Amino acid sequence: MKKKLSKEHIIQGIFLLIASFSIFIIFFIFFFLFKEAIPAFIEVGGDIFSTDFSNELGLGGAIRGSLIVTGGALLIAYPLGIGGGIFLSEVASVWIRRILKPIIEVLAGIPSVVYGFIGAIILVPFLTDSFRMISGFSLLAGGLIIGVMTLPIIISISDDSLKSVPREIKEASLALGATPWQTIKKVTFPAASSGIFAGATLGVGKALGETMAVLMVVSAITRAPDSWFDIFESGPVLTSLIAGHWGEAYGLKVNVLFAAGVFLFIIVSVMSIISEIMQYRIEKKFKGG
Amino acid sequence: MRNVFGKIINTKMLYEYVSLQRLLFLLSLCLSCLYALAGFTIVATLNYIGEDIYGYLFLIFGICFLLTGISSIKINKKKSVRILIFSLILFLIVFVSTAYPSSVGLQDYGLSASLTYNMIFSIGLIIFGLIGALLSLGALFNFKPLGNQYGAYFLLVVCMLIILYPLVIIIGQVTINGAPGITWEFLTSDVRGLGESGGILPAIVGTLLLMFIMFVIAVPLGIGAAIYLEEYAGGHFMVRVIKMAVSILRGVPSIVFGLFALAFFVPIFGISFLTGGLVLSFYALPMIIRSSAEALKSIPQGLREGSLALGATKWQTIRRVVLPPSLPGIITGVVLGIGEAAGETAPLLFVSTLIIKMPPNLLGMVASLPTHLYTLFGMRGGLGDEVEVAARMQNAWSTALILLTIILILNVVALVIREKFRKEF
Repeated sequence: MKKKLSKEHIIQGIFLLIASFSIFIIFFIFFFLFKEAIPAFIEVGGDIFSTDFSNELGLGGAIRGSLIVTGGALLIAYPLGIGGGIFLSEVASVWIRRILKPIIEVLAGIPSVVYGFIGAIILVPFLTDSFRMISGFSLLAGGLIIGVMTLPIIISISDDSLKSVPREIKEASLALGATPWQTIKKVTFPAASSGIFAGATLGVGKALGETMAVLMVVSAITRAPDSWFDIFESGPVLTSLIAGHWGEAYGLKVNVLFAAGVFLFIIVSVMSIISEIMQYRIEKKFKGG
Repeated sequence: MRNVFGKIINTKMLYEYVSLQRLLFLLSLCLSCLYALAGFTIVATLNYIGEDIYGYLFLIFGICFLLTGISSIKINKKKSVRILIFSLILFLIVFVSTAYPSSVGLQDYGLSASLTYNMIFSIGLIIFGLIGALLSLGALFNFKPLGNQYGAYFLLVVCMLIILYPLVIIIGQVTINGAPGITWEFLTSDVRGLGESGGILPAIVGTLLLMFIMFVIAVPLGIGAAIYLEEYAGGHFMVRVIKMAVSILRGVPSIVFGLFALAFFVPIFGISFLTGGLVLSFYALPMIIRSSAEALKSIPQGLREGSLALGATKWQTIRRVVLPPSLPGIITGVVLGIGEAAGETAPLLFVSTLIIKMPPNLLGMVASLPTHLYTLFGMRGGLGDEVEVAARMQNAWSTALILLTIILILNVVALVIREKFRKEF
């Protein structure tokens, strides 16, 4: 009996070790990125936030570009994605839902390099034509493509959150004579909105971290756009800066690119942590109430 | 509600009036939908129609809504006023469109673009078509909440169609452009030149090799972690920390994985398939953990308790009772996770190359289908004469088609397994 118990303990220990592996990976990633980035932080100093990458090795322009692209992407992805989520979970019949769900999964599974390829070959010439741009490779194209790529996450999060609203609440509303749409608008959606919001921070992270599509449709020039609103220009984005300038980088530039990686890692991790904490609280609320 | 319907049924004259008017509403609804669809098609297929047609389109639109507005004025004043205002706006657009130049420069406002007439009015068609559809739907159903409901549902359906549109475009374009290049030789020969001739066999085999490495490394780690999280430690502090780590790892951008590979794996394993496979395994790990945990969670608690009550140990219970029924769910997650990771390019960006010869070396540079596609795309600008560039683009499309096919097959496999699983429970 005693021997068996100790065997059980060993097995549990092994599983704990395996499970802790994710924590090790996180620390490894942070440690090795930071190790390579330290020279950049020391030698470039405060200039790291300047918008001039070519001369001063500043990342300010890339951060601005990332924010513009992410903002544009979310402007597209949120309304459409939440609408799609409401349709899937509340409006669509069981059959339509069973057809649409895998299709949305396929949309999520299409590799980003294919999105980038299609974006560069089809979307970019179209934008050049529509807006009489010198070149359609622009932050606008990046925002559009990333918006489409973020859609599946927003859809599935909205769908899950809406589905997790207790059925009794909806039925009470319907029993009082409200139409299904009134129930969705006044009861289901408000109840699910905190969950949607919590999950939506994940969408922000995904949009910020997308690399290949941005690299292919925005192109990785170093000159930052002059204004915050000029989405019709090309410009550096944190991810495409790393990917596009790696080949020609040497010396301190390499360290600066690692610093860009550190920025990305920190921003996205903070987003994930916020989302996780919020989801935890919501779970608690629904269980408690 | 009963009042409204009661009136309609009791007053015969009114009923007839309403039905005639309903016909008009239906007409304007159809026209609106048609216009929205037309605008969408124009924007989506990138074929602008002649600039002078837009004026007539909006004129017909305006007349239709003017008629519906006038005809409904006795029934519902508020709604008909709304419709009349809408038709006025449409006439205003017709007026403006005749005076409008073919494009407006935005350079004065610090933007480096111009708005073309075609663009504005195509999008205008979509927006006004949708508004018109909502208005006529609202008027068609006299009971206001019901009208609102159909309007809202209509918008949601439009939302869904817009969401599905990129998928149609991507699959359609890739199939149309990629299919002509797919021959037996393309699938089974080495890459020749700079990708303009020969096939993509090394890239296909490279992708399969990466998948195999992921299968060996990420799957045991992922399932093991899920078992710990779901079976051993319920509500433990450690579980919160691990779950947090998994969700952070899930969010880490793929390019950061690439940098990590460069800083950590490359000094150990060199620029090799091993490095590529390891970093992709780490990338796929959180997805596999999450879906496996999901599958384990769906096993009823009663099964576990029954087994434990019979005197089985925890490990015996997991191995004999919990794992078998949750296996289909786990496999689904594994297939989807590995598929998604195999389609990634960014983590491999710094270790990949254009592999020319078979077989790929486990310790040689990486080439997989996505990196091959990216390399071909990167060389579209030059390197060789026009014929070679065109051949390279053709190969890029075909590579994209093969890649998409593999991803689709994996998705279908996952779907089939899941459907079977659903029937069992």
